Amino acid sequence: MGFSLANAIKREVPGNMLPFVGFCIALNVTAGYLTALIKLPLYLDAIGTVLLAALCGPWIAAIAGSISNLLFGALGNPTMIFFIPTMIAIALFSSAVARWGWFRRWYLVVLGGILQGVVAAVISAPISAYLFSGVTLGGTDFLVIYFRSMGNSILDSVLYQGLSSDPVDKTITYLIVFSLLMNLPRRILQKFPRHSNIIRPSSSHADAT
Amino acid sequence: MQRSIAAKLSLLLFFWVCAFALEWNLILPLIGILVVARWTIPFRPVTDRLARAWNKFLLYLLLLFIALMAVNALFIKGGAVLLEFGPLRFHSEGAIFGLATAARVGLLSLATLLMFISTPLKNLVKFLQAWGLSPSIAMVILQALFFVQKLPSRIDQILLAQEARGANVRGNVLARARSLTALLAPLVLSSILESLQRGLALELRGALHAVPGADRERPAIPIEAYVLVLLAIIILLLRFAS
Amino acid sequence: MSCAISTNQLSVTYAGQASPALHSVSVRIPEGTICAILGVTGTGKTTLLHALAGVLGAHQSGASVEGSISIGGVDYQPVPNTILFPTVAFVLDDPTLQISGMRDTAFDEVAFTLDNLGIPRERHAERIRPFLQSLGIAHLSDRNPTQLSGGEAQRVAIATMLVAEPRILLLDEPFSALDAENQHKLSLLLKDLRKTTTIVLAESRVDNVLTTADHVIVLERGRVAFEGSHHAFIHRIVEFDSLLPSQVWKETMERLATMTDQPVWKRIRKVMGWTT
Repeated sequence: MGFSLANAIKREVPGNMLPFVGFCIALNVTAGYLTALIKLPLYLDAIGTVLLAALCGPWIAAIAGSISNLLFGALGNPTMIFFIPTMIAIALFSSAVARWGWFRRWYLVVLGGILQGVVAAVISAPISAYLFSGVTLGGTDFLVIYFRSMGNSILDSVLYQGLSSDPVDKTITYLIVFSLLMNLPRRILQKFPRHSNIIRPSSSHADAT
Repeated sequence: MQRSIAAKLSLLLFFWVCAFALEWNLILPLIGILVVARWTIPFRPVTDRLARAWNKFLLYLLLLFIALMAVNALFIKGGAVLLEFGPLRFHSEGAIFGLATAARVGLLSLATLLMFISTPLKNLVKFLQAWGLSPSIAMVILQALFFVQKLPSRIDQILLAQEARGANVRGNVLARARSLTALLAPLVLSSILESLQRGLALELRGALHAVPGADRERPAIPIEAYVLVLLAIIILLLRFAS
Repeated sequence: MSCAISTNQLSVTYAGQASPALHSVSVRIPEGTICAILGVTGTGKTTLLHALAGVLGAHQSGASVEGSISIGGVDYQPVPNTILFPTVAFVLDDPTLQISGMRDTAFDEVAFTLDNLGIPRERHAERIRPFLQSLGIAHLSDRNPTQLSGGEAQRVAIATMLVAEPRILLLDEPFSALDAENQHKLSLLLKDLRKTTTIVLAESRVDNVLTTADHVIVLERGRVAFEGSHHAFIHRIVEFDSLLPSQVWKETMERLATMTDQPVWKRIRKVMGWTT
């Protein structure tokens, strides 16, 4: 009984949900447009991945996340392509978090977001260290410089920087996805393969139509 | 066009191998070639927006080079002292390390970006499909492109509508953060509903169980593509041998 | 090669809904006709279309469905559980959803359907161009289909389905996005098509179908309130004034009154209190 990615994806996403997957990819790519418009220092470049992971499953979310990063590259930001492994890790981990039922309680969502941030930081660190020495001309470069000035190696400095900022970003991402899921009408949620991650039969889920 | 996509992908592979296998003093001329190649016909940007994206990225790369050299020169002590600013000393060994790092990521990024800005994405997807990309993934990518074009104007509309209803999108960070869900929720909800309807519409015209057509033959691979792949392999072997 | 459709005591109740969307609906739609399913919004028209297209069976496994459907001599108990394309083609009420967004020209958008059916590229033009002509959208062939007006998009959406040469064509509120001239064109096209295709269209405004339909079904709260020929429907039309906003109702009746001098119009005038 081997694992086939193609079969796993067929199980996770019925054909008529392919446009929804496309939307989640577009959400990753354009959420940054929204946060820039209202001037919030957030990226939210994984919000579609987490949503897809919670509603459909890990493998389609991993593929969608990878495609998102490729699309970022196609639209002018090629350095995102190097962080595809991070996006895959986000997809797999957030799917597990959803499977554990953590997207039903806000405090578990916060815990999940923090852990997700740790996972993302650990996966990103070697990539950022090797390719960028931790310097990406983003706001967090000063943190890396600070940690290096304390005598830490490049890798350790990048890791510490990641551990300081990723959990915050990912917790906010998780909370936003949680809020979206809680406000989706039940009849819409039930169309998704993994709706049981979100709805418990006796739960008082929003039923607005 | 399909022939040239094959050649471009091989060229991309070649540059990626070079980025990891060659020393910085060989990588820098390759970056120069890429900068010039953007002005040749096969690599001309398909839209003005992509041309601007290229220019913006070049500027970013220049700043990245400077930053990487400076930061590493500061912390990796060795070789001659290139510069002194008060207590800060910039060393040559660190500067070279920074230069090598920047060169590597520069070549990787520029080669990738050049391929993307000069190739219409839909043509790339068609090419990949002819070479085995799953029709479902191809559809996902095309639907993503559709939504990427539509979402920004919808965001603008929702922003206007929510501001008219009193959402505070210009206040302090906390107020703006709270308004974020109010802005995202209608966008995501309406787009989820729309994407499910689009899925139904595709199903209703047989798109999800498409019969493979007789004319989905694979485009020919030009000789230059084979040459580039061979060169990449040779460079890799030389790297492992040394 | 058109075919008849019939339903026998078809009842549909969606999961979580108290009242049925369709209640014991038994209708018979003759071959080669244009059948209008009329009713106000929410009365079950779209549910019936979904049942006929196979959408209900394929996607609403939580719905409770009883009865049976027969399409072109094939019996389904209770409803088809796969999408029946290309035998049955369904044009949705929102044409912008039916435009895939994956093709750059209107011609290619229509050709997408033929690609799905495995029809070689060389044969596309000969199949597509006649439909573009009769729908009045040949001049839009090279336009981006996602940038068309509502009416233009609707006609492109219809073309994407017609090109599959279905035996049954279902249309959900096809006239709503069209101006008077294009409504007339669509009406003529449908009349021409019924030689080879059985056409079922759902509408909530009777004025849109008065000169088009041969067979009329009126649904009221999920039940059949009327089924019969167009002629018989006209005679009982006063009973269905809810199918028109009152001002449009009056104008439509006045227009009808000038079209014929049958005694029924005198009755209508008297009932409606019109003196001229």
